[in-house]
Amino acid sequence: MVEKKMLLKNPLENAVVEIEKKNAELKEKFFKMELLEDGSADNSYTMAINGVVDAAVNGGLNNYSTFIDGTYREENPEIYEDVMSNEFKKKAPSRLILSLKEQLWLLQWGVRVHGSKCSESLKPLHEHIQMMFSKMEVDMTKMIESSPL
Amino acid sequence: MLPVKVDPDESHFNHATDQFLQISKVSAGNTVKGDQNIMDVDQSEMMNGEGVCTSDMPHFVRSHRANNKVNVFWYTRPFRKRKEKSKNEFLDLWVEKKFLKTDEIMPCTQVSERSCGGLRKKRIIRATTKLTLFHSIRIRLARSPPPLLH
Repeated sequence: MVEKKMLLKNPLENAVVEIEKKNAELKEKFFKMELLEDGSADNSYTMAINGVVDAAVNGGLNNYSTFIDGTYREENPEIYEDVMSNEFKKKAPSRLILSLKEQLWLLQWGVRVHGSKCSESLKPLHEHIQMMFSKMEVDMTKMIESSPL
Repeated sequence: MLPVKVDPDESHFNHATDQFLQISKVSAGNTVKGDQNIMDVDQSEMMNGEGVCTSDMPHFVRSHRANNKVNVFWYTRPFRKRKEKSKNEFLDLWVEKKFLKTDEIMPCTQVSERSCGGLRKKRIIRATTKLTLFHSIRIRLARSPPPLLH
């Protein structure tokens, strides 16, 4: 071994990376779904949307609220200190908001397309997804608006 | 065996009476842009994707970069900064990403070393049906046993 290097990722950066990864996954899935014939999408598309929407409504979003409203600065000063340590890390709070906005936009698109592409047997689940997504949209928009950025 | 969660420190290196073995599974973290070494790349690029490539690259480009002439490896280790657990587990999730560069390239990760070499030259010969027939007769004759001598 001739060289060693270490990078530290704080919880805020981890959250950003996870959401960005999920967005890339959703984007790829929805592009594929759009090319399918009406009523022919299998349940993997339904599960992909349902997983994100369900998790967000059932408490998933609250995990990020501290980073968005900025309360982590007082409650977790070690994270704030790391975020402020260099120019790249300083962008993490705005990257988090951007990635959440992107996720919202992707889901609007995905839910709309899913309505026409899913099979008849999955229609009841689609209605449940629509209902949960409306709730998620309201909660997430409120959360993003609470950001001091 | 030293658990992966334990980061060896001064006490392990200089004051311990035991010897330790710590094993981590590593991933290839070869290059980011062309021949640029990952060790020289700044933080913003390393954080993008998994350190090897950017997420918008096609799969085969990513695969090539990850698996050719590998001499940089990385692994991650989650850890907590605070001793007490937070109510929100997300706030405790810190990750250390360690990059290790070896002197030698990992064996069998460059084309010249592989058993399947790259194509160097190509030549096409088109044969007429007559020539093909003649050729197959010649092969058959060569394979048949020699005629008995009386």
